[in-house]
Formats: sequence, structure tokens, C-alpha cells
Amino acid sequence: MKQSFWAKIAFKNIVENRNLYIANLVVDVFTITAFYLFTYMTLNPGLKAAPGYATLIMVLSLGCVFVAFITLFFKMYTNRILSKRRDREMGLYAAWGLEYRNIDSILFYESLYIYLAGSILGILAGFVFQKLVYDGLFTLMKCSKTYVAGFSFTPVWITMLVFLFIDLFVLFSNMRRIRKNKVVSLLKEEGEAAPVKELSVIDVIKGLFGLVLIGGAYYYINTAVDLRESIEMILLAVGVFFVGSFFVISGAVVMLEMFLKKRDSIYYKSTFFSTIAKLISGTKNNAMSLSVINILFTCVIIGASTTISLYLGTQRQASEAFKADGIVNCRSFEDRVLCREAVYEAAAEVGVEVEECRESVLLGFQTLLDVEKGVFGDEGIESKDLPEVVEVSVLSDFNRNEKENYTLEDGEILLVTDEDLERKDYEFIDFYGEKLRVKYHFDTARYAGVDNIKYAYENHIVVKDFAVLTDLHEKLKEKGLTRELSFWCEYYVSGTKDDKVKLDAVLYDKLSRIPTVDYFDSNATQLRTRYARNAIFLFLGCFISLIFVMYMVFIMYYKQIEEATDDAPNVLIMRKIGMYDTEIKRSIFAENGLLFFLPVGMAFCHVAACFGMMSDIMKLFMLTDIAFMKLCVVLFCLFILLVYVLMYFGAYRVYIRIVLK
Amino acid sequence: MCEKMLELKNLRKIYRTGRGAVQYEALKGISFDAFAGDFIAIMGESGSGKTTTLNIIASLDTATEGNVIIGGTDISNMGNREICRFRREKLGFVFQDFNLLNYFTVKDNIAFPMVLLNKNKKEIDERVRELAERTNITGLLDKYPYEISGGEKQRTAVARALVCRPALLLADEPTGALDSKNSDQLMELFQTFNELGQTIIMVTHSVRSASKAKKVLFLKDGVIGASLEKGGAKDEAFENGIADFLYSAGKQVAGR
Repeated sequence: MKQSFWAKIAFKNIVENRNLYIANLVVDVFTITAFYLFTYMTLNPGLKAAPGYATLIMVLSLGCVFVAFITLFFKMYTNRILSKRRDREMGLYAAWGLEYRNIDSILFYESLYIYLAGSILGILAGFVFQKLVYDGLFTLMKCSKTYVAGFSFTPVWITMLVFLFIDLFVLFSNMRRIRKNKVVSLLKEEGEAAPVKELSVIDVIKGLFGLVLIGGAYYYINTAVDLRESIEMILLAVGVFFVGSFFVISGAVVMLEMFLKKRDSIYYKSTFFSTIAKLISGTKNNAMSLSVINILFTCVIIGASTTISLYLGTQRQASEAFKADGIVNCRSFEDRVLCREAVYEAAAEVGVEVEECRESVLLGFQTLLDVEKGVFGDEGIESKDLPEVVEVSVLSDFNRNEKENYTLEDGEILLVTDEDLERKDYEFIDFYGEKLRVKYHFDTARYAGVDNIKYAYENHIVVKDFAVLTDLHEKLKEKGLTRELSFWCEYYVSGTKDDKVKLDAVLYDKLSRIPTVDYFDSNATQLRTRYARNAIFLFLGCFISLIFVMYMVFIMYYKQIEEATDDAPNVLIMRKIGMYDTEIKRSIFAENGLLFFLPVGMAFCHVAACFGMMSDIMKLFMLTDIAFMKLCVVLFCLFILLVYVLMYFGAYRVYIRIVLK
Repeated sequence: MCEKMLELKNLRKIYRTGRGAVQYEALKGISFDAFAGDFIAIMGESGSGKTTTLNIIASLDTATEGNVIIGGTDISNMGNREICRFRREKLGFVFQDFNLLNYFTVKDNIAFPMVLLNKNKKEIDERVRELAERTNITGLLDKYPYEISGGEKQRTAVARALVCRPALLLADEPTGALDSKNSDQLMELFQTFNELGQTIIMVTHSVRSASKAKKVLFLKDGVIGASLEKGGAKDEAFENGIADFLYSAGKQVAGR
């Protein structure tokens, strides 16, 4: 038989099964468009104009790899559902005498058509939207854009190659499955005499184990997780949630349904009778799909809501990172005057007024503190779970910054130790061999800084004046501690945001002429770089979430067709017995509702449990306004719930249309 | 005089295909009555209109013309909701392919129509137990339909059909999917319920099954061609009578 014959049959098959293939194609086109856009953005030379170009490219490239992998995973999964419906057809071909290689040809042409249609439409859509997405990203990044127009083949062939590989992988697995199955088992009607899986002891154990897994994961992430490991932990937690959810759905939920069945006052009501019985059979059989939806939903909420709050909270992050409008650090006591002059000159040039210019001096370095003995040193002291730092400053700076009015004499200090370290009443401390009298002792809770992730134990020593500090510095130098004093200048200016951006540029130019200036940063710079970075996260978060949502819709759509087709004979029986259509609809509405909203409810629980960890991760990015983040997450949850409710009604209508046809 | 349970008045059913261009008249004026305690078998060749007649009586289909009066109520012009209500209260069905719900246990399959009528649990339990004993499926109540044999499934279907004490028990080829032993058992069950006063209308191809009825109607090309009354005859004799009738009818057709 000529290949063109199989090609024609494959085409007819796709037309015949268009209900299934159209949904498949829509998801294909969307993922291909997303992948093409990521690749296109990564390769576009105009991106070099963006702040943090290298990070941006890296994040986009990782996005491409991630999209490719999740596409492969979901395609394999959805293919399982799709192929279940096609197996009978393939069995018929085999029964008619077609050889496996003929069936392979049909499958090959079907995949080829879908691949070509998906790739062409996806890349075409990508081509149409590439400028819009590019401009959108740069607008989000709040930086001037340099769109390099034109058609490039590189993203096209990369996209086609990646999806060719994915589709070939799926095709080969389908061919293998058909060859592995006997014709009789292929011909068997799906759902034929599908037994109601009875609750067994194993199920009870599985359900309890699932609850323990989820409970354990909740407890762990909220108590024992090292904040620096949050990102790795959140991935691990998602994995544990998935396994736990599967066990809970397949065991504990059925246990609950069984319990309801035992309650005569509930079960023997016309509204619940059929609903509970069908749920008991449906929940366990659908446990895997429900778990996948649960995890997709969790990922969508976590991914999208964190990136949205990160982006919307950019201003807050910049303000937290820099309370002042700007900060300059230099190594020389003499040059700090030059730095201050530079600030005033730059302000005058731009036409703004310097409202305040605070200068301070600091000696800071990593250390070890023996809490019991009150000894600071580098040797002979046991290190703690976090690094320890000490900052030595002068009283005048401290009183001004903290709005206090302490007094110190020579040899006296004001000590501030970390609030997480045990508080001891020291009369003296040993600071690298120097005996210092402790006049005041507080902990960092009294002088709270930014509520950020804790990287180290912070300790502060405040000495009487600059002369004492330089003397102490000299003595430390003699002992081999070579850390230099740093001089800081924090400034606050009047004017608009634009004025401050201009001041930034002028001041940067002036400071670059002072050789001892180590560091210059400002609120405006922070805002610019943070907008660029957060926009990329938002871009990736939203695109990947959209892909997840697409797959979620896709899985549900298939499941609805599958379930409805299997349920149609049951509904016919119910109608024959005399059940009203409204009763049937009510029963289906309740069953589907529970199956639909069970994973969502669990996902909300997961998100609530992960919230502490999510906010810790946000703190790494200086988003410390937890109330704001909570608001973003709640609003996004409501939004996605609304989308889901609409999806549910759509799926319910599809179901009803099939069963009451 | 016995109560008239069913009255069919000049039933006509025309199927239209396409845009009405092609018409097929399945029933051309069927009229007959059934009284309380009757057991009527309807026989006929494929396409003679047996199942159409039963479906119209069962209100699963509507007649193009004519009336169906069950227990004095004309169901021909009832609305959908009324028909559903009427069906669940007054009619019981037994189908060839059992029509049991796989996700219900045998007990729940039987109880389902009573639950739809919002009967209380105690009443449901008593009735289900009583019918299970009579149909000899007490030991199967907690099993699922896919765990029991065809004969057991059909006995479950009979129990379900009778659970609401229907005015009419309608059976469409109830022995069609059963072997001879199970068919006999089922027909004995029908006879037992009939003796207890249950009115039964049954469509069948099987002469042996029809012989258990008190009366047989022969449908031919959408009309009642003939009928046989059992009277006081025994089952075997009536079976022979039906077979003779069918043989001679067949010969007449062949001789034309």
C-alpha cells in the first residue's frame, strides 16, 4: 500500500476526531508560541540595552529549557488520556488485517500533521506577537527599548527542532504501546465494566500516609527550613505535596465518601444518592488527574502571585533597600569631604536641594563571638549556624541615626548584640584582646533594621568618638586585622523621581573621579535595576503559569469528554427509571463540582502553608511588606478561582451536552 | 369486573427521517386493553412494532396519534416532568441488557427508584429485603453488578422494577441475554409476581417465555394481527399453541 494512502487515512482520522485534536492543537500552538517568543527574546540583540543583560539572558534561556521540559511532561500525560480514546480505533485497524507498520504509518502521519500545523501556527502567532511582547517586556522593565525588527531563522529552527523531538518522543511511545497491547485489549471498550475500586486497608494506609506527608511537609517548611535554602525546599515541598495529594485523593477522600455513604441520613437522599456512589467510583479512578490538576494549580498560584507581587512591589523593595535617596562609601577620611561636596554640586546642577547629608564612619568585618564569656575573636571560639559580623561605629553617628542621646567615656562602649543570641549581662567585653567596659547593652530588636532574610548574626559596638575608633583600628591592625575603616555618606534630596534619576547620572560622573570611592548606590538605581529584573520574572511567571493553565484546561476538557462518554449510558438508565433532567443535572453538577474543586481546595491549602516560605523568598528580593504580598496572593487566588469557576461551567456544559444528547 | 390498568387507543407512530421527506409508519393503529393481574406477551417479527409499542406505553417515546391511558390517567399529553413522575411511581421496567448502574451495589440499584421518591431508609430496607428474598438475591445485595451473573443481574432488575409497587411492569425482551435455565427462572419469577396481582406487559421473541403469559398479542407490520388466550391451558400446551400459530402464520406467508 502506498504511503499516500496511510497519509489520507491519518488526515481523515484527525478530521473524525477533531473534538480531541482541536484542543490538542490549541495547546500545541500556545506552547510553541511561548517557546518561540522566549527563544526570540533571548536571541534578540536589542535586549543588550536592558539593565542586567546577562541575568536576563540567563533567566530567559532557563525559561526556554523549562518550557521544553514541562511541554514534554504534559504531552506525555495528555497523550495517555488521548490515546485511551483512540486505542479501539487502532485495534479495529489491527482486526481488519493492518500490520503494525501500517498502523505506525498512520500514527506517524497524524503526528506529522499535528506537528506541522502546531509549528506553523505557533511560529506564525509568535511572529505576529513578537514586537508586542518585546515592547511589553521593555515597558514592564521601564527602560527604553531598542527593538531589532526582522525575521530571524534561528529561533524558528530551534523551536521546530525542540518540538520535533518532543513529538517524536510521544509518537514512539504510542507506537510502542500499540505493539505491546494485544488486539483484543485494544478493542476493549474503555470503561467497559470498570469496577468500582473498593476501599481497602492499603487505601486507608495510603490516605493516612498522604495526610502525614502533607502535614509533615507543612510543618517542615514552616519550622525547620533554613531560609537560605527556600528555593530548593519549595521544589521539594511541591514534590511532596504531589505525592501526598495523590495518596489523600485516592485514599482519604474515598474514605470520607465511604463515611458519607454509611450515614443513612445523608446517603439516602435523592440529591446525594447517585452523587456519592459515583464519586466513590470516580475519585479513586481519577486520583492521578486530580493530583496533576492540584499541583498545576498550586504552581500557577505560587508562580504567578509571587512574580506579580514582586513586580508590583518594586517600589517598596527599592525603598526598603535604600531608605535614603542615595549612599556613597569611600575608604579615605579626607575624601569623604569630597564626596559630600560632590553630592551638593550634583544637586545644584540638577536643580534640587540636599535636605540632609548624614556622614558616618564604620569598621565592619566577620567575627566570632563567645556569648558566654563576651569575647570577640577569630580563633578558639566555636562558630554558629550563621556567620557573625561586628560593626564598630561612633556614638555621635549612632545617636543621630537612632535619635538617641547616650553618653560614653573613654574605654566605655554601647553594645548591641543579635536578638537571636543569648543575652548576657557583661561588665566588660574582650574585643580582640582589648578590654572594653559595657555601659549600655541592648539587642538588635530595639534597633530593628529591614525585616529581611537573616544572613548573619549582627553585633554592633559603639565607641565614644572617632579618635577612639581610629585608636582601636590601629590596635587591631597591629594584631593583623587589616580591615579598613569605611566612610559613608547618606543623602536625601528634594525633587521628583526624574530629578533623582538625573542626579544619579551627574553624581555617578563626579564620584568616578574620586579614586577612594568604593561604592555608590541610590534609590533610583535600585528602582531601575529591580524593575528590569522583576519584569523578567513577571514575564516568565505569567507565561509559564499560562502554559500550566492551558494544560489544566486541556486535561479537564479531555477528562470531561472521557467521563461524559462513559457516563452517557448511566444517564440514559437514570432517565428510563424516571429521574428528571434537572435531577440528573443537579447530580452531575455536584459530582463534577466536587471533583473539580477538590484539587483547587487542596491547592489553596498548599499555598497557605507555603506562604511563609514564599514571603521568605520575597524577602531575599527585599519585598518585606508581607501584608502587601498577602493581598497580591489573595487577589490572584480570587482571580484564578473565578477563571476556574468559568472553566467548570464550560466543562459542565460539555458534559451535560454529551450525556443528555 | 377487573380494574382496567392499560388502555391503548388507536396508536400510530410515524418516524420521519431527513427533513420529513422519508416517512416510516411503525404503528398503524394499535388498540388493546390490559386489566389488573393480566400478563400479556407481545410477539412479532423484527420491525413489527413491538418495542415501539412498549416504549410508548413506557412513555419513553410518544405516539404520533392515539392515546395511552394507564390506571385511568391519559399520559399522551403529559409534560416531561409529569411523565417522569408518573414513570417512577406507576411503571417498572425490565430491559434486555439489564440497565443496572455499575457504581451502585445490587441493593442500591434496587433502592434507587424509592430514593428518588424520597422514601425513608427503613421503608426502603424493608422493601428491598422483601424483594431480594422473592427474587433470591439476598446474598448478593452488597455486590456490584459486574460481580454477578446475567441471571442474577436480571433478577436484580426485576426487583428494581417492582420496588415502587408499579401499576404496570413492562419488560422488553427480558430473557434476550439469558441462557435457557436463567430464562426459565426469570419467567417463573414473572409468573409468581403475576399471581400476586402484578400486571405485566412483555415483549419477547421467545415462544417459551411467551407461553408463561396469560395472553399473547401478535404484531405484524404495525398492527395487531392476532391474539391467543391461555385460558386454563398449561404452559407446555400454550407453548405448543403459540408455536403452531406461528408455524401456520409462516406457512401462509410462504404460500402467498
